[in-house]
Amino acid sequence: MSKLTRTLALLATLAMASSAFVACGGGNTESTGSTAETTAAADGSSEEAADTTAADADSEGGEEQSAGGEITLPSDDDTLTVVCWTDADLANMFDQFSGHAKYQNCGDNGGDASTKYATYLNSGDDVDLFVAEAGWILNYINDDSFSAPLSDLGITADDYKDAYQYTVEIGTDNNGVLKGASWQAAAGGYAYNADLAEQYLGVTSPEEMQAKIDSWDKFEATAAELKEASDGKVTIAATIGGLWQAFSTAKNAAWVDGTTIKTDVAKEFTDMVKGYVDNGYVDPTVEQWSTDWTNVGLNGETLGYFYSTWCLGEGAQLEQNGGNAGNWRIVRGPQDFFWGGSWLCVSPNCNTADQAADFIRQFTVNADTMEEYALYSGDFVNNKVAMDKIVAEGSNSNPLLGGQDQFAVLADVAAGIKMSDSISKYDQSLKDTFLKTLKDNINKDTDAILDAFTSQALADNPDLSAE
Amino acid sequence: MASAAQRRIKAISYAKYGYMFIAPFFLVYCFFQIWPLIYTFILSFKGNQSSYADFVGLENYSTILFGKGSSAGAQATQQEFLKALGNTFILWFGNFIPQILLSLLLAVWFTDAKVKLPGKGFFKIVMYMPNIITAASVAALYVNLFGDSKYYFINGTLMNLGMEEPIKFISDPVVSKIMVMYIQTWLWFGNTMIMLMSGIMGINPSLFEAADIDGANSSQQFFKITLPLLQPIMVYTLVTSMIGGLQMFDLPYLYHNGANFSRDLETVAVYIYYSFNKGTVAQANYGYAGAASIIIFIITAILGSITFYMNRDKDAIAKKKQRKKAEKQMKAKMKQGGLTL
Repeated sequence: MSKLTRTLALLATLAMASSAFVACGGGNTESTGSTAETTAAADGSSEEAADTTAADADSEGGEEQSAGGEITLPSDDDTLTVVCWTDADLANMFDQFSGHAKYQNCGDNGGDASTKYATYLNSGDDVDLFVAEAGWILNYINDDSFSAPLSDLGITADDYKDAYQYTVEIGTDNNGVLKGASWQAAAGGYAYNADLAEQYLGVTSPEEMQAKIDSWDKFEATAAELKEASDGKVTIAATIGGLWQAFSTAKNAAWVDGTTIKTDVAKEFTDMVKGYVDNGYVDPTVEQWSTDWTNVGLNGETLGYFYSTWCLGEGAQLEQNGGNAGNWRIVRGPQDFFWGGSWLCVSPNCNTADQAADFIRQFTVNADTMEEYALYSGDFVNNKVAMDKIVAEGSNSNPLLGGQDQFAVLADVAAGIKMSDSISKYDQSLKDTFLKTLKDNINKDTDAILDAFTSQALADNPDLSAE
Repeated sequence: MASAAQRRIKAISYAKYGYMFIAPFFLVYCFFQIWPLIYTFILSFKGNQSSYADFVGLENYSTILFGKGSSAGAQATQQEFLKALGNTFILWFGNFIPQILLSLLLAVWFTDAKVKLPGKGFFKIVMYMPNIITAASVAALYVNLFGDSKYYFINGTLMNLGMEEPIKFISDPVVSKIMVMYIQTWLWFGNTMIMLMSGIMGINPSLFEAADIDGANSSQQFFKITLPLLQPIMVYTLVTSMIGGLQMFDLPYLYHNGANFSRDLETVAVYIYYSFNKGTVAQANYGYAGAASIIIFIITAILGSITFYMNRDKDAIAKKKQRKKAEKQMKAKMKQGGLTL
């Protein structure tokens, strides 16, 4: 009798306790699944739906797929779960191609999602694939408890001979194991307001514009010309953050060398941008991605923005910041750069290896589906064959850019990006700290700014040391 | 002699069922309250970032309090923590003092039988209202009203009226602190006012009547009757506000531009959150966060004790002492054998 009561009490306790173990569950949305349902309906039997979807996709996948290595992770007919931070990309991806997947949105911007990921991935909830950003991917791919090699899904580096090389380098961990595959080459360019350019600079075509800003010296000279012509009303770049991205990513220098913080690029940039601020070429109070950032574009107070490929699609940043009038154009800008990017990584707990492998192949290997996705989403996909084909055929035109093909511009940029050891796992945090310190202390001299940055960075990261 | 049946009934203890029924609560409490508390202590003795699993003794404390530790950024860490501690106290004083004065004034007015304020109920509700809104919404509201540039309502209006430069309500180190103090006051004065009103209404009205008849004016009544008798409620308000103030997190964390919180408003709670909430375990500073939590706990305990000590009922204590003394004397006399009770 008393044993029974005790057991019941324990059960009640456990039931109460278990309800508290719920993490990051709010954004759990099944992809609308119209594709999944129709597939199932077409096949007539719902139990087989999973297997047949995978099989169908396999046969569609074409020749490269059969060449893949051995899949060593388990595979059952559970739903493929992908952890991500934004619906926009992934919802489209699933609806377009996969249908049979669930995405777990950790709901944050790419820069900050890392924190939520750690919580989710540690919670033990189902995860097969997760999407990681360049700024913090190394935290996850260098830890075997978070990520498994792509070779466990039968995918090897050879599959990425058509990919842009820098994306493969970022997806490779410290031991040289390929652990992340990007579907984007997040090349960026300088998008400018063509009306303002014509009014103040007399520029009528993207080629002329590019000729005026194809180096940092010319960019600054044009900024001066613009300021003069517009009576100081129009700045050449919207934010310091945008300038930093364009300036730094191609400099090929990591924030951290071993455990030492390096500030060479930061110093160079600080020197440059202080001149910009003193001369009024950029407004230091405008925060990247803020309402002000949108407003300066809408009100014609900036000539242009540095945008990544994912800013140029329908409903994205370009459109929000005034692009819907169609009077914006994009050029390569003073320096080739990339911004962000989304790497698909495999969780060691992946239990749907067949589907996961298929998913990764469709978005990062298969040129046909990637081309289709590029045209559908406006995203610059990570496949030279697909992109070259689109550019050669001229099959893409972006109404937000007055019909210009952004891929033609970005293809040159993507080819020009070189990476070697230029990212570290501290990048995102150090970049944020640097830009914040820079803005807060913009009126101090360069050394004072760098000292303030170094001291804050050291306080945040006891692992690191200064030069 | 009791019968066998009676003995058996006595032997059956129903108490254990009582314990069983309350056991779930205590188990849950241990899991989710006691253990995290203990674990915070343990974490404060462990390392940060890549050395998160190592036991480092008191190094976290020496780093954040005295700037002496093995990491290159020990001094910067100390400066940040001390700044956060300073901000915490500045923000707490800055909102507590205006809040208590305003609440006290309004509470006296609203409870005074001679001041016949119309629409008392309405005002009470309106003044309490901000407290119902979550701090997150309040922060969003103020950030959007008081934005730093001309695109936001307040600055836009002021600049249309002829102001040259926008006021940096959000990014200026001093103005942003004042704003947060103001918002905190605005959020909480209604709540404090209700608390104080209940205290004032608990005072025996005949005291006020007697004072009236004796010719005491309102300020005399306030300082000689209301304030002394309100002391218990005041202590309660002070202690709860102090605990809340030292743990102030939501507004200082949310009141900012862009993606990161504002360092000028960084309180200890924000520092703790920021230290441990940085992605994977190997990125976060659990040790510093733990040590800072323990330090703020100790500070709260000390300040709380001081408040209680200063506000204890001195008459009651004096009486207790007297009684004890009398008892002792009595016992001494009994030992001598002179008296029997």
